[in-house]
Amino acid sequence: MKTKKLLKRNEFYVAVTIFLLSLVIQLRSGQFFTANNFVDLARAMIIPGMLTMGVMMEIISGGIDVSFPAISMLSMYATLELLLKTEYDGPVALAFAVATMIGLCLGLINGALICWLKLPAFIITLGTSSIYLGFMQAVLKSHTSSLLPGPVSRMVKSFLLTVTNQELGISSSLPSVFVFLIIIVAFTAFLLKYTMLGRGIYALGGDPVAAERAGFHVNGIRLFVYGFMGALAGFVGITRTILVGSCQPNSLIGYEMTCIAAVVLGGTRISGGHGTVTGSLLGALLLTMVSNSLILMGIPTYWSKFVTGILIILGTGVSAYQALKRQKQLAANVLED
Amino acid sequence: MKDKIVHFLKADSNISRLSILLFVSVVALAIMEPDIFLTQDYMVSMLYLFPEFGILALGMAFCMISGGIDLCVVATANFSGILACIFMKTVLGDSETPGAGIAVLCIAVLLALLIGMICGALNGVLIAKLGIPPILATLGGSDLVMGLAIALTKGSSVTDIPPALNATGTHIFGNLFPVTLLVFILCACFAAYQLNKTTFGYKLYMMGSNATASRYSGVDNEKTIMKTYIFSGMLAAVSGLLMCARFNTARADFGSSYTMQAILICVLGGVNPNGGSGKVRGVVFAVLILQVLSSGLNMFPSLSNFYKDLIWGAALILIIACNHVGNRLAEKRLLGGN
Repeated sequence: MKTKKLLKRNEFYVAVTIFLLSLVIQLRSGQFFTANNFVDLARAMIIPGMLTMGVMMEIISGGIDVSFPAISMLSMYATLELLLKTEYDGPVALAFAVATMIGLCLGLINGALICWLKLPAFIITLGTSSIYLGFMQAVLKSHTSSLLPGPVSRMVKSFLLTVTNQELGISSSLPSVFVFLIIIVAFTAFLLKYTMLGRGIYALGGDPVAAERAGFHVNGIRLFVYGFMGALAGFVGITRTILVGSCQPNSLIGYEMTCIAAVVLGGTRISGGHGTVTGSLLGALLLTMVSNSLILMGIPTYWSKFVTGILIILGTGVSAYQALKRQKQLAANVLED
Repeated sequence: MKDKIVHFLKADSNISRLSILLFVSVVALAIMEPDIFLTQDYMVSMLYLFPEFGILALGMAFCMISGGIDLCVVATANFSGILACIFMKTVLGDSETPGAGIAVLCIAVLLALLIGMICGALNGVLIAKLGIPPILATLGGSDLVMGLAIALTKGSSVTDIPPALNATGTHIFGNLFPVTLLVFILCACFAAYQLNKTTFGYKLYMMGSNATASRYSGVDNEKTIMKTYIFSGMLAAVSGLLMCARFNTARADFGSSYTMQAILICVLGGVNPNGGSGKVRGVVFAVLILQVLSSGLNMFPSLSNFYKDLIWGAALILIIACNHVGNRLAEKRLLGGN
């Protein structure tokens, strides 16, 4: 019984795909099962891992968001400018706090508009994304710069551990910000599974009317979900600056589709109500591996978009087709009676 | 008398709102910068530019009326453009005869349309036969098609295209009437005909307002969805050819902001994002407004180009909010009238 249940879950297939892909990469290059590669993968997982948590929550609640890269970049840029102007030199926590607050406000704007206008979240966030991005590029006149505030630039060289490959002489380091990924994932998992708010998010995605009748404060939940995504995006903005080591205000453009793809690949239903933290993390890992490791397999990087497209279609197609077949079966039964 | 006016405004409030907006923006620009705006060159350049994203918006309108969305339009446009250009290059080689150029161009256009239809059919199959939600299906389709385009061109551009394409695409009849405008008018007429005069259009509106009801009324929803996305792909291919003609190159990443603009135009033009309503004339008005405002912004060099993003986004949210408030008021009036 348990294995049968396992076979029905998307997570299982994603995990199998990851395993097979890693075997293929190992066979082709002999570079996959090395400490270096694992540390590099963990490092590459930090940003998508954090962002997918917020996106997953939104999709479970029946919404979607394409504005979080814009929120992330705007809050990051505004914070860094502010700290540079005031020549701030205290603890780095303030940078995170300011960016998170800006992100929270922008996310709440999304949430409020979605609650008020009752239109697809996709269209609303497409609009706000354009506003946020335009604000950053036009009003704040954003530009790439390597000048960072003192506390942030000191954080760049803070690592948890470093592994060195003796043969090749290459060393890979795991940045300290990796800790934040673990904290955020644990927090999201706890929130979704053990709190009333978390159950409310699932209920809202399953059926908004039923959730409201069951006594959930539907608009409050929506505001929380978009606010959380905004705050997370602001936090990720600073984290990314620390990872990259410079202020790159345009670097996340187009990243929303990768995150949505990762979440959906991991078995979260785009229509809402279903989704797990494990699945989303596995989805993010698979896409990270595709973009990081194709080159190890000797496939030119310009194929990576094609492979992502195939993965999205396969990952969503299988479960969607099963649902459609069940629905048709049901409809046929009703008609026969 | 008052009733009549109210009735007229209500009957097509969106169109009247849009025509007022268009009129006001044209007059405002004409007063502010008459030396630039009112010249023939400027007018023609506006007419020359808007068909590219206008045609994409027409395709997007089909999908949005059906209750879906097509995020694949730009990828389809670039992919068909690239294939058509490669085809022309290979067949024509270095030959200089203009007659052969035109003949090959015609075949290339047909080829591009075919590619666009295939891309659209791919999205249609994913949505209708597999039941993937349109956002995801077209997102995956977009990655797939754009991935193919990138792989085919190895991320660089296709250059040295035979001059026939550029010469035809940028031709302006009598220095007044660009070819692109003619293409846009043809596409708009085609779209309007499909939506208003065919059973397909009727089924499309029905399916968009309630898919279950239309299925139980005997409408083949799957076929309607397939047709919708095939039309969208075909129109995207036309737009792709226009882009290739203007730039005289083909690339996988042209017009990346056009998806957003096409959606904006549809919503601005009164197409309901939830499906079921929308008119071609609304879309045409919205395209014109967008182009007038965009050209208007270009006249002020002190404003950076990035302000456009800000303004488009704000316009989108504002229009949605206006429609929402308008609908609420209308509902209240209806309830009060009873």
